[in-house]
Amino acid sequence: MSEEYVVEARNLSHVYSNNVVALRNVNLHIRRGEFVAIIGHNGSGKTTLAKHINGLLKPTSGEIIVHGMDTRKHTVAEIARKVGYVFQNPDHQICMKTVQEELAFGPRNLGYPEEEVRKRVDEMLKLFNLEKYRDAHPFLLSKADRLRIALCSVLTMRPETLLVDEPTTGQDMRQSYEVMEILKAFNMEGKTVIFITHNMRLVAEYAERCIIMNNGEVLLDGPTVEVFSNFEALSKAKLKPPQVTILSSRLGLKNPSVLRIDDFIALLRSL
Amino acid sequence: MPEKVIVVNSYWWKYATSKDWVLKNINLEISDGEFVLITGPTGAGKTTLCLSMAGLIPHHYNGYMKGNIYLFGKDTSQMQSHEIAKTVGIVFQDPESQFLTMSVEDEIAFALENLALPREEIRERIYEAASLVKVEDLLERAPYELSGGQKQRVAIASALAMKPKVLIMDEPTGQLDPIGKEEVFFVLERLKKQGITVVLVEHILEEVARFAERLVLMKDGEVVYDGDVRDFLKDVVKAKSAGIPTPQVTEVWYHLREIFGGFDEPPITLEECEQMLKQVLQVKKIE
Repeated sequence: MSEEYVVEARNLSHVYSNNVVALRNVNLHIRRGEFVAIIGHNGSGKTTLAKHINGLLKPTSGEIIVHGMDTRKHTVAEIARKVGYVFQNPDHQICMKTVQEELAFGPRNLGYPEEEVRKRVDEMLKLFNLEKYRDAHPFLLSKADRLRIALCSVLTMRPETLLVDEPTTGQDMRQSYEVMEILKAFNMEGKTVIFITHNMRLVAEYAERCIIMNNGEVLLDGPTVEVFSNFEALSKAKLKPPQVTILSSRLGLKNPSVLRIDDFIALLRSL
Repeated sequence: MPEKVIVVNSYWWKYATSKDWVLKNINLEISDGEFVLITGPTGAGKTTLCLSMAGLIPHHYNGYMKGNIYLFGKDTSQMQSHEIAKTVGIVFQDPESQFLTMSVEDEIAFALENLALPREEIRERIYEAASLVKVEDLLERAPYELSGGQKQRVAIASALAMKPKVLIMDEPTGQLDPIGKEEVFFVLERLKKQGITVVLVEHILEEVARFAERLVLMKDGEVVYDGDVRDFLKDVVKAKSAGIPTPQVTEVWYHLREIFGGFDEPPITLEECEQMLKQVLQVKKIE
């Protein structure tokens, strides 16, 4: 039973050393193959939760089991073989002098032969259209490109679960959708995607399930369409659903609400 | 005729490290009291244009320049940095990148002290700028311990305290959470009411379209549209193909018009769109 879950948090709490309670009694199960969005304003506990999923932080009480590993009993390195984590700020993880080396860093550390490492790097450079930057210094590229490089350098490790903290910050629309399409393709392979975002449109269009964090607690957890129909919970967490969701609800057009613009237009056509 | 605050005249710029021109033949005039929205995909040259209009280019960057930028008729390349700083304020996407001191008060005072203004005047200006963006209760706090929205408001206050003739903001909400974004939109509302000349760079129009009358679209280093915001939004297909996410309400209008006819002007706010939809529903009910 438990092996189909990639994340199992039971009464998970985390109190930082300055006594700030960042997570309170979080209970959460994420199954293999899910596409989950974690939303909430800054300070709601999203990133602290993410850092428990990759083992960077350990619970101060309760427990979290990730791919069958109790994070208190396993090293970050062991968890990293299963869970790829992309930092919110790409500069917090980029550490090599060329894009190629950056992408090779992860698989090389996992001990893959050089030939395999090169194959994976080439694949990613092509997929993300970064071939032209192969020998460039990552820090000389734009923030949007650095973020994509950070994402690539995690994907070259071929994780089972991908955990991405704000994958589209600083990206324009086209780039945001590009990144989301890559997460989607990864998810289509039966792998798990967990992403943190402030972009409600992307949540509505990509995530099957949505978790609202508020004040260190899980305020609401369910299918995105249900979560986005719960205006009370959204406003408590100071979140705004997409405009079409608000419109369909205000006009009483559909319940639960419409998430995507295409669905809204289809609804108009059916009037 | 309102006075021209900024005139960009056949302006080209290339960084010392860049292969191609980053800005190509830009012509742009910004009048006193205007609220101009600059948008475009990443890499279009928006930030470079901001740095140029704020005089940071060419004074603090190496590169090649053609053409001129005038602030109230003076060529920025001939002006001194402190002179430019009194005319143009600039706020960046990442507020932390401009913080230098350990308290909000010192932060807002920093540039004023550099201008060697009298103590009393510095104090007055700090209070005025702080209350405009509502950070007057945070003056004693350290900038780094504030929330994202608070940090960005402090950055805006630091710029406003210089009493610039124009405030340039380069994606000021790009890194903020929904609450922080709301806080900055509130400040934009106030700046607009005060009639301060604002140049705002944003690539998501949904929340900011209502502030601006004029929109400038950049692509590959060029200005490809300069005109009325609603006129721009009318051409949803073109906007989308330029990589600009049009507000969902505009997209709804586009299809509404196609299905039911009428409605010549696109809505910009949720409320405007709601009214349109109500009209349609009303007619449907009567039928």
